[in-house]
Order: sequence, then structure tokens, then C-alpha cells
Amino acid sequence: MIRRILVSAALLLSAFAAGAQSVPFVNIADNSRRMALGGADAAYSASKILDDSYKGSADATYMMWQPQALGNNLILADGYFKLADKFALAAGGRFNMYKPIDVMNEQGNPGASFTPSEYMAFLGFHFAAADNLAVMANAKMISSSIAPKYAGQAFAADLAVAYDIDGLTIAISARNLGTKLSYSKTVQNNLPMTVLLGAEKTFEFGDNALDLALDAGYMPLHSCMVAKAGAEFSIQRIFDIRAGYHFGSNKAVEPSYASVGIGANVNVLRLGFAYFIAGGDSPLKNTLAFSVGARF
Amino acid sequence: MKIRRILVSAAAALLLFGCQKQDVSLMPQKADETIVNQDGEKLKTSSLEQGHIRLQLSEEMTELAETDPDAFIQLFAELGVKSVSRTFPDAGKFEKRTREAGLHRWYDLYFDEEIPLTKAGEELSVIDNLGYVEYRPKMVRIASEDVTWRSGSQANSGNIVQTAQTDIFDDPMLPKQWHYYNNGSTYGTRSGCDINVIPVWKNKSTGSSDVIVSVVDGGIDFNHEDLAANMWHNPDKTGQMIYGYNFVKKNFVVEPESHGTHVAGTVSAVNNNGIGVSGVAGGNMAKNIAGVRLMSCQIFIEGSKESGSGAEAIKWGADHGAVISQNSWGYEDEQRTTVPRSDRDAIDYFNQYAGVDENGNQVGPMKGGVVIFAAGNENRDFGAPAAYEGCIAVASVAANFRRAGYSNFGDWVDLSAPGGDVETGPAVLSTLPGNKYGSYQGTSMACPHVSGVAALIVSAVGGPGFTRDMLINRLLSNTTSLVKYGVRDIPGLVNAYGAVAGASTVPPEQVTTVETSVSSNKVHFKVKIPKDKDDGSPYGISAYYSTESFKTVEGVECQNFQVEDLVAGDFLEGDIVDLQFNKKYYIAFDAYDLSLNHGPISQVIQLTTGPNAKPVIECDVPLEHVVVRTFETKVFNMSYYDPDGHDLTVSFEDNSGGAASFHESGKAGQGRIQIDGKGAPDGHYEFKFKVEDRYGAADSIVVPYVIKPNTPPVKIKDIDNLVFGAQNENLTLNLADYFYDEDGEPLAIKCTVSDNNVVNLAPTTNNTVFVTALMFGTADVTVSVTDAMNETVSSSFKVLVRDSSQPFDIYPNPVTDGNLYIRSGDATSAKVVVSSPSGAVVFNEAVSTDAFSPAVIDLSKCASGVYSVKIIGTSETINTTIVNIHND
Repeated sequence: MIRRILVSAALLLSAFAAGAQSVPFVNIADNSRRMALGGADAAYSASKILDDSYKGSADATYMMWQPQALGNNLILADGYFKLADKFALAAGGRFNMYKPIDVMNEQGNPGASFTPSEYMAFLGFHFAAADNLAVMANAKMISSSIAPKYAGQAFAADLAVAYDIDGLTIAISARNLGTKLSYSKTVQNNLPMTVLLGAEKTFEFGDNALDLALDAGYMPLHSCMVAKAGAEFSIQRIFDIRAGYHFGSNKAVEPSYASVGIGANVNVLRLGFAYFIAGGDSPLKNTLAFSVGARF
Repeated sequence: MKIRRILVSAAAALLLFGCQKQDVSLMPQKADETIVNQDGEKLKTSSLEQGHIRLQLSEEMTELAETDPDAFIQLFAELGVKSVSRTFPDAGKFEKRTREAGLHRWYDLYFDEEIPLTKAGEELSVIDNLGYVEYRPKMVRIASEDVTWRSGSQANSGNIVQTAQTDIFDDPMLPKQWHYYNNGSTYGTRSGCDINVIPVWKNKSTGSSDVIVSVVDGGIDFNHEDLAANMWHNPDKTGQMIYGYNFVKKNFVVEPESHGTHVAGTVSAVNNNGIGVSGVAGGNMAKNIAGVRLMSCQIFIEGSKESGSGAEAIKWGADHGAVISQNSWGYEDEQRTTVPRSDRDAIDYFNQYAGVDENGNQVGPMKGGVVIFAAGNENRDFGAPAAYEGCIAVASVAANFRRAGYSNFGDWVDLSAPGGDVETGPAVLSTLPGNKYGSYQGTSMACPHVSGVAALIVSAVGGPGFTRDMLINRLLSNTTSLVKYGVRDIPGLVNAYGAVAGASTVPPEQVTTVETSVSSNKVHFKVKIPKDKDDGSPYGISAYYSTESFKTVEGVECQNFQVEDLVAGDFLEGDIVDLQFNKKYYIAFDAYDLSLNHGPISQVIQLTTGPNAKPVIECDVPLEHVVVRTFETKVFNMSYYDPDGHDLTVSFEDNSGGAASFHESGKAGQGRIQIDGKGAPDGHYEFKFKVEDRYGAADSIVVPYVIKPNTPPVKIKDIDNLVFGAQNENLTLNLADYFYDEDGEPLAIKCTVSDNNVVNLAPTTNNTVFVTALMFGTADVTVSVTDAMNETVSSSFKVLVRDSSQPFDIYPNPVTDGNLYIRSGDATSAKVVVSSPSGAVVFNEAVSTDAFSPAVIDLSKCASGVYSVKIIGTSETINTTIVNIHND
């Protein structure tokens, strides 16, 4: 019975689906490490509270998104801090800067130029319900200004549950559950809601380690499946080599691409670089990101 | 016995008043209440003076008033009487004739103004044998102000040019006094519409101080620079009390008032003193000739509705030497149809006793007086007191010979004079208090012109034996007729020269110098104007003609020619017309004055008239094979003349129904024949043009002509769409490449543009259109050509103005209706890749595009966001971003 309701809801939502998603920048992974792993981060994001080796972390990332097409500059920052063994707060945001556009009227006559911009801010809560069970919730505010007279806000939440079985972390999360992005009274767009099932496990080989992560998701408003897979090999816990793949079942909504990256860890600092490999006419070609972070 | 009976009646009346005290109590008078006087006339009480009744007492009641004034006053005690006194006070040495005229019986009764006149009348009616009760109408001045010229000001000076006529005096404002000399040079004036006084000044008189004019009006400014020298002085008074009498304040101190000062200036402003204006009878100061004297009988005060007794003032003038009484006043009641009896009695007194001493002997320049009244400004067929037959009523004429719109009219009016009419032209210029000058209009302003002319006549011909009847006869018998100007409801315009010279007795001298020439049946003459001993110059020349010899002019046909502005010694030229053709004639001339005294005739001249030649018609182009298309108008300039100089009559006939017509040019003997093909049915027609003199000699032409049908314009091909690669680019469309009209007529070009900001189309006179790109954009354009018959053909096309440095126009941005357009200046193809913000390719196809058929990219399924667009053309690749707006 429950299953039937879920299927019906998916069909209903799909009736409103558009050929592309609005404000997709909210679905980009938090930092270059996760970007290099194809964006697979569901299990990691939900289970941070279960890792007792650190009190917290903070990362900042600069990303050149679609440098040959849109030419966006994306700045991401987030942080995480344990208030107690079982509680932690997270906070962060991202700012998406576009190149100026040339406003043209219906006859093709140029007008003034306009520079679109978008940002998102969130505040999160992590709780260890048991030694191997974690829950997470984020509250988000999203703002988008894309053209003269077209600017709007939306509010959303991310929810996730993670369970650890002998080092294998399995998580389920729902992202961008919230209001429509309202550009005007007559123009309102759905957020890119996504349901993810993720798993991640680390295999250690002496001072080296191999981390595998896998996400499978569904975007009900676009009737679109998405999958992300990534692997990280850590040498002496200092250098990391990463690779991943991002799969979108509907290429008009979520493109597929491969990603690679490297990382370095020096004491509490960590550096990262990610690069997207895309074929054909994909505008994601040459997308890259740099991150710097700290764990403490 | 009679006195006793009156006393008894009076006592009874007192009792009655006593009994009816309640009825006499203060009762408000209704605004529209009427009262009937003893002549049976209904009068509106609102138009009557309140608290004032004039009584013409019976003989018995007069005796009571004079023998027992206290008892007499007691008769009116219950009326709240304030005073009872004679209307015409004891006149001293003239009291005898005053009583003979019955004026001693008039009394003015003043009582409480709160008592309604109707009630007062009722109370007076019960007084036995009281006499006649006269309710007094409210008095008014009969003029309205136009504009005031301050001394030395150039305001409203008009464009009158000083002429030889007005050079007679050096008064600087004389050229503006059109009412004395009107040469028609000012707007609203017509030459000759004046009182013709200049010839009188030149040849007869400028006025005499022996003549006194009493101005019954507001007080005259006796210190005015242009009046002081002509003011009358009372020999019995001194100081400031010598100029007349103030009938409002009952003393001898005259107070200057605008209306009275203006009127006085017209009568006798000082002439030739280098100051201000001229007066009709103002003398000639430069030659030490004083003008007629102005006596101020003041009945109005500046700025006040209070008035004195006009009747008393008129009589006072007669008793103090005036022979002409000037009255520009009347009554407020516009429905009144009678003249009050006391006014009539005063006028009769003036007429009889002015200029006469207490013994009945003539002592002034005229025996008897003349009372002259303004007819009134209500534009109606009555005016009081002017309508009384004992006075001369004067209507007002505008400067164009027409009755002034406000002027009263009718058979009772005796004369007209210039009073001005600001609705059609200028008003009358005269003096105003304080050495000022200004223009007023009204019959008030017309009236003093007649008074002035009357004074001039008396000055010129008055003296022992000259009577008022002689004066009136001259005034009324020598006017300028207004009938030929279509004015029939008022009499002729006062004519000073006619009236003064109308009594000439000495005929002009003989005509001695004559030159003649003959043309057909017309004799042209040139005559030297002889002298006239008493008139200076004759009024006209008579030309006598006969087919038989004559020595006297009796029974001989003649034609008269006025000399107008010419004077003795000048040559008058004219034509004796309408003689018989080929006939021997005897011709002689004499001169005549205004009294029609003819001088001796000249030597009789013998001559023979010629034949009647046929008129001649000429045209500037040959009138052969005349063809007119329906769009054409052809004009033929015609000239025609009579070799003999006879007037010609033109006739024109056309059988087309109006296509051909004749139009006179305004110049004698010239005109144009016009054939207008517009609207005329095509076909073969003819017109006939004929000129004929009055004696039947004629010439004519008959001209056939053809009107050909119209052929509409046609389109050869459509005008191609136009693309401009930059703003301010331009090109010229030669419409001959697109349209053709077989008739070859000029075509009217009309350009319609949907957006005038994008492109401008300017038709030229050589059948081209100059097209200029103004700003980027598109416009729909229609170019139409229309022939003279309104047949139209048109071609529509589009115009695109774009930046040719950009290979593609990608629009709109943002996309709001789901369609993104890609346009190029020339036809081309390109691959277009559109990617979403997430990097998904949403469009990837090859498209074709050109200036007016852009490629259309469907983004209607795409969410709102910033998209990248990549266009891979044949020679270059474009990367840009656009925004799509979409509602989920």
C-alpha cells in the first residue's frame, strides 16, 4: 500500500517535471574530494557524527563550473563541529557567480547587461542515535537572481540516516525538500529534489587505504535516475588519488561525466583538486575545483 | 373762499394721514413692483428715485405753498417729509419768464426713503387738488469707457497717418480723432465717416467765444490744459466759483468728472495750442481766436450715483447766457416710453428764452436755444429725455458709417454723429480730468459733436436775427446720408461743412480754363477750379452737354463732379460719359457751392464724338487642341479691353457641367479661364467667353476641349525587405522601379512605418524615398502612391536594422515565452548547442536562419536558469549565455 502511494506521488511529481532543473548548483558536492569521487557523498555526509577521531572540520572550495560555456565561478564553504559526543552542528554556504548577460528585447535589440547570481546557506544538525546509527538534518535558504525582475527565494531541508555495519556505512537521504523557488507571482520553479541511497567503506593496507563510495538516487520531479561512484587510494595517509563517475539517466536533466582528483594531508590541513572529464559537446569539460580544509 | 376750501381739504387730508398712520409705516418695497403715473404709464419702482417725488402743483396749491409754506409742508407731514422746495428756484430777473413758463409750480418733495413710492403715491392721491405727481427716474450717464491714453503715452496710438488735412492744427492727437477727419487708414474705419469739420475750420470758423454751450453732465475739469482757455466765466462770481454750478451739492464749486470732461473736450478743447486734442468749436489759439465757451452745469459726481436735477440745470444754462444745451444723460429705466413733464418744461424754457434778456430781446448770438440730447445706449426704439420733440436727439455711428451696436434708433432721432463702437473700430478721443486724454464710446460721445457743430454754425453765421429754427434747419438739412451704407434706422450723419456752408449766398467764379479730348462717346475734361468768395473753393463742377448749341444751362443735360480735396486753382479731371456715338456736341462747365449757387458758365466748346469700337479678347496661349486629363487643371490667362474705355460685361458658358470656369483677377480687364479635370467626366466639351460693352458691341471666343479619363497607377514589383547593418545607414528607393502611372502625373507618396524609431522614410519630389536606419530593430513599412484621382497602389516590406559586426542576433534575453530566436544578416546555417545550468545539453541541432526568418529554439520545457548557447557557424563560433524563464 505504501509503495503504491510512493509510486503515485512520483508520477504526479513527474507531470510537473521540466527538461532541466533549476538551481542545480545546490546539488554539487561540498568539496573537491567529493567532486573527484563522482559526487558520491551520501553515506559520508550522514555519518560524520560516528567518526570519533575528530572534533570537527572546515573546508573552502573554489570551482570553475563549465568554464568554456557558462564560465561560472563557484565558491563553497562548510564546517562541522561536535558539541558533544553525540551532537554536532554544521553550517555553510555557496555562492554562484555568472558572467554578465546581454539583455535583448523581442525584436533583437540590445538593452542593458545583467549579471545573474545565486547563493545558498544552510545550518545542519547531526545526532548519534546509537554507536552505529546517525541522523542528520539541514535547513537551507536558497536565493536566485537570474534576470531583471526575476529574483526569488526558496527554503528547503535535507534529511539523512546512516547505519554502520563493521565499517560499511549505509545511508539514505532526501535532499532539497522544500518550497518552490518563486521568481515572480507567475514564475515558480521546483527545487532539484533528490532521494539517495549511499554506501561507503574503507579498506586499509598498512599505512595505505582504499575508500570506495557509491550513491544511487532518484529525482522524482524529473523522473530521473542518478548514480555516483568513486574510489580514493591514500598513500601513507598523506597523498590521495581519486577517480569517479557521475551517471545521469536523463541527459537533458543530469549529465554524465567522469572525474579525477588528487589530495594531500599535512597534519590537520588538507588540500584537494578535482577535474571533470566530459565528452562530446558537454559544457562540463574542463570543470575543476580547488579545496583547502582542516580537521581538528 | 378758494383758499379756505383748500385749507379745509388740507386739514381733512391731515386727518386722513393721521388715521392711516399704520398704513404709512415702513414697508419693504418689492423689487419688481410697478407704479402707474398720472399719464397711465407703468413704471418699475426699482428704476425710480426713492424718497423723492416731483410735484407740478395746481394754481391753488402753488398759492398755498407761496403764501403759507408751513401749512403747505404740513400736508406731507405723515410722509416723514424732509424738505419741499421749488424745482426751479427763484430766478431773480428771470423770475417773471420762469413763472410765465409755469416752472414756479414744480416742487421737489423729499421724504423718508423707507416709505415705498406706491404707498407715498396713494397718500398724495388723497390730497385734494394737489396737482400732477411725477415719480423721478434714476439718471445715468450715456457712455462707456474704452481706453485711456495718459498724457504723452503711445498706447493705442493706432496707425493713423498725419495728413495734410489734419495739419491744419498742431494738436498732436488730432490725427487720431477720426471723428473729425477719417481717411479710412485705421482698422474699423471708413474714409469719410466723420463730421466733415476740416473745411469749416479752413474756410468758415473755428468757433467764437460769443457762443456759450452749457454742458449738463459731470463737472468739467476747468483746469485741464486743453480746456481752461475755453471755460465760461460767471461774471457774478469770483475764484473757483466762476465755471458753472454744482446741482448735486447745490453750490457754485464744480468738481471735475470724467464723463463731463470728455464731452466738453469734444465740444471745445482748445485748438492749435500744440497740446492734446482738438475740439469741434475750440477756436484757434495760435491765431488768438477763442473757441466757444464751456459752461459746466454739474449733475454727476465722479464715482457716485448721486445726481442733480437735469431740468434745473438746463434752465440755469438759459438764464446764464448759454444758447446750446449739451446733454449726454438719460434715465436708467429701459422700459420707459415717456419723457418726464418737468424735463419737457425745462427744455421748452431753454428753447424759448436762451439768448434772450428778461425783456424778450435777443442778447446772444442766437434768439432761442437748442437742447441736444444723446439718444441712449440701449439699442432700442426709445430714449428719454432725447425722444422729446423739443430737443435734438443724436444717435451714434461707428467709424465705418454703421449704426453703433448699442445706439438707440428710430424716427424720433434727429441726427447721427460719431460715437464709436469698439466692437468694430475705434472710440472717440477727448479730454479727461488731470490733463489726461482717453477714448470713450456712446451716444454721449456722439451728442457733443452735434453740440460742437451747432456752436460752430452759430459762431459762423450767428448774430442779430439768427434764430434757433435757422440753426436747426441747417443742422438737419445738410447731413451725410447713411442710406447708401444700408443704414435706415437712424438719420444722416451731422455734416459741419454742409451745415455751415449750406447758407452760402455768393456763387463761385466762372470756369475759365478747360481742356477736352474725345474717345468714342466719352469726353475727357480737365478744368481749373475757380475761386469761391465765401466758401474758399466750390463744392463741385457741372458739365453741361447738348447736341444743340446753348447759351444758358436751363434744360441742358449735365453731369456733376465734386472737387473733394481739391481747392481753387487745382485742376479737376473727369469724363462726360454716355454720349451718343458719332455726334456733334456743345459742352460747357460751371462751378457750384454747397448751397447750389452756380457760377457763370464757361465758354461753350464744340466737338464730335467717335464710333463704338468692338471689345478685344486676348489669351496668353493659343486656345487650340485643348486636352485636359482628369488630374490636370489648365489655366488660360485672359485679357480683354474696350478700345473706347467703356466698361465691359463678361459672360462665360460651359457645357461640361462645371469643368471650365472664369475667374476675374481683381484687375480690370484681366481674368483666367480654368479647366479643372478633377472629378469631371471624360468627354468632348466647349466653353464660350464673351465680353460686351453697355452699348452692345461685343467679342467672343468658342473653345472646344477634351477631358481624357484617368488611368490608375500600377505596381511593377514589390519592394524587397531591407536590412541595414548599422544605425544611420541609408539608401534611396527609386519608386519608378516599383510603380508606374500611364498618365505621367505626379504621384503623391505616402509612407507608413510601424515603428518610427527604427527607420525613417522621407519622400522626395523626384519620385524617390530616402530611407534612413535610426536604431536597431525591425519595422513594417508600406509605401503608397496616389494619383490625382485618389487611385492608390502600395507595396509593403520589412526593414531590419542590426549590428552587422555580430554574426548572429540571439534574442530575446531573457526568454519568457519559451522561444529563443537566432537571426543572421544573411541566409546561413549553423549548429546550435544549448546547455542547462547543470551542464545538460538541452538542444543540439543544425538550424537555418536569415534576417527575416530567424531559427527558433524551443526552451518551453526547460526550467528557469542561465543557459549557455554555442553557435557553430560556417566561419566562426559564438559562445554566449541566455536566461530562460519558465514556470513549473
